[in-house]
Amino acid sequence: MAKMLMKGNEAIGEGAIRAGCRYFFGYPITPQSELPHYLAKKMPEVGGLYLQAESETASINMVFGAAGAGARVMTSSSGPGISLMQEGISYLAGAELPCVIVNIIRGGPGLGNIAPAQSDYFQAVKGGGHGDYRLIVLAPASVQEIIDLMGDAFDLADKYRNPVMLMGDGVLGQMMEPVELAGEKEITIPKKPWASTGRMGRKDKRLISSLQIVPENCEKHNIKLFEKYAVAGQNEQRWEEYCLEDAELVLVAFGTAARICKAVVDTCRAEGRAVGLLRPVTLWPFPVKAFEKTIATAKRYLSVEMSMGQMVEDVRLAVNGRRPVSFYGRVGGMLPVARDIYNEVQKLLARGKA
Amino acid sequence: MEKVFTRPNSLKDMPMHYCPGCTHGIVHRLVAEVIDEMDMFDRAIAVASVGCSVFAYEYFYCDAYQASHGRAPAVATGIKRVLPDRLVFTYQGDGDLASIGTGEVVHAAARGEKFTAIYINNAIYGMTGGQMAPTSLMGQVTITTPYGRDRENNGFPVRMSEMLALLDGSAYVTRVSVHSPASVGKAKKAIRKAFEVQMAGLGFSIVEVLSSCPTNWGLPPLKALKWLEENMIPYYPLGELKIAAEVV
Amino acid sequence: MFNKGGLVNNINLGRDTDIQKVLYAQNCIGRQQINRFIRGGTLLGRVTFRENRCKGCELCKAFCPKGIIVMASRINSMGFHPATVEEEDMNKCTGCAICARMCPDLVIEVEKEEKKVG
Repeated sequence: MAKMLMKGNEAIGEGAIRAGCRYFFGYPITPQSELPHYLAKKMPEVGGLYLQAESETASINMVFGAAGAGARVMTSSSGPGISLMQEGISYLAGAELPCVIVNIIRGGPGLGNIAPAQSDYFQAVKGGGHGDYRLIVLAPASVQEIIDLMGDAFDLADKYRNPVMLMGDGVLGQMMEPVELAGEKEITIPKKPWASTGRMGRKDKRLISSLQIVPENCEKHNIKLFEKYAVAGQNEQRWEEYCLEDAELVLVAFGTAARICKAVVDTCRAEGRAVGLLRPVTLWPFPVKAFEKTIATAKRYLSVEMSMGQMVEDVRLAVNGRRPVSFYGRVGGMLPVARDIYNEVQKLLARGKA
Repeated sequence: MEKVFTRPNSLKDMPMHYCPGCTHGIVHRLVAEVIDEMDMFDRAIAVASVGCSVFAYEYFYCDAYQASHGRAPAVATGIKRVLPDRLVFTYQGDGDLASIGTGEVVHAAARGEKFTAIYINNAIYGMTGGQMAPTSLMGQVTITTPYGRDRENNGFPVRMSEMLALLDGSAYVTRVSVHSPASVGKAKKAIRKAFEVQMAGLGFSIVEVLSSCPTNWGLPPLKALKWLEENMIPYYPLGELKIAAEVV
Repeated sequence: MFNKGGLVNNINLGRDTDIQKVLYAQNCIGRQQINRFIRGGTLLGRVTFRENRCKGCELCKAFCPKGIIVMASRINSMGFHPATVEEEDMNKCTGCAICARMCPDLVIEVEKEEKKVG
């Protein structure tokens, strides 16, 4: 097992290549550009293709074509570019095409800034694009986890024939951490009996399309998609539990915010306070099972995000009125500081005693 | 008796939904005839776009894709990069290619992507009910230019082929028409040449086909073809605009 | 001698006018056969109209070099007057296929033969 120092954005690329991805279409945008830079160099080395598209709109449609042709393919961007991709993402979901889309979130709305944020949560899990569909959304919190989750992302995309999104932020993208890279292993890419590749003597004709002009068929198609999503919802929830067994106050955070919260949990535990962290790894399907595990002991939940409060709504849904849910956040690239979160925790714990 | 004209194999034997006299049917047939004659039935991949021809994938017997509005050249790029030995063509109208999709077709041409764009220019938006297209002529009355297209508000019609011919990645750019039997014959030859350019790997190819829209022009089919001949051809001249050196 | 999708088989075409009258009388909606008979060393053309696909656009009629295509007075299942060739004009068809090339709906099939009278 090789161990090396890798930058988050580059680890995404390395993870993709190791998962058998050989096609990348993308457009530069800060803070994810190191990923296309890395792939521009690496893809030709493995016989793959890095193609710089003219826009994110073009990128996502190139992904549509390549995915329909049966390839493992990905793209990446940040918030404004992901916004441009929304129509394409809806088409990918409607046409049941597997692919991986990476979003390294930056401050918004609009042009915002290039500093880290988590304010694209709604965009990722509550649609973003038009129509009824879901994306499986993975949120790593370390460079090692990025490498591991990239492999899962492609596997999940193929398993459910659906786009999968990997969400990071500028901190994760830029940071360098030691990673252990597994040795070269056999990549098994599932067969794609639906891919539209030119008939090549085949009896049936294949179509990649999201058009369902007849209402009855459109409804049937939507129901079919949601049967898929129901299976994913049951089987693919992932989370990390940190000091949760007896936690009275549960911090809920993902990605970089979760790393900061871990420090807060450590401090509180050292003081004898029953504080824990529930770190969703899948933002969709949201790990409601994890909440069920904690509901017995937890008295209060605190969602900590780098946004004005997006995931907190899903926390409220999961808790379903049984416990109070609070929110603490910083935005625009201002990172939540451990000390401030700690103070917030103290306030809430005090409230509980009153 | 010998059959001298019959349905091409690459076109499905089914009624097409186009309006009476709409030239989509002619162009579909020409593409299918060329696919038959080049024996490319197994390798052809059609990328349908958004417009009246959104269901083109129903009529062509090959594998197909239905792309979002304007993005067929990007989809075709993805397909052809993964499957370089296939015959990939987009089938787009003037809204798809010359309005929302201008960026995609320009960059596909600039990169010399090896697919063929079949570009149906009928100077109006058909499917959505007759709005002005970027290709609508000056003074042309449409439902969004009820007083006629004017320079002040709407600017000038766009000649896509001339623009695309300027790009080094374009290997074959030509403009044809389907308003008469002779022009239909030339259109078919152009499509054949474009497909051959693609399979020779020379770069991007596009056949702009001046077409009619009787319904939204408010003209009966024959008068529509006359209108095309008298009004569109002077502004959109027919002929080959770019032929790469390697094209014989 | 009628085409394989046709309605009548094994009929001797010696009495062409009578046969044509029979066909029209049968009010064949699906396919209509038009035959031209040998006049000695000339082109023999045969056009078949799939009337139920015709949308009455009249392009074939406009471009037929012999001017023998007309729009029938009957209407098809789509409500259009389909293109047709009247029996008295069928002998003028040369099988040039211009009608078929201008037809957007693949209504027309064309057959051709050169025959000499022995």
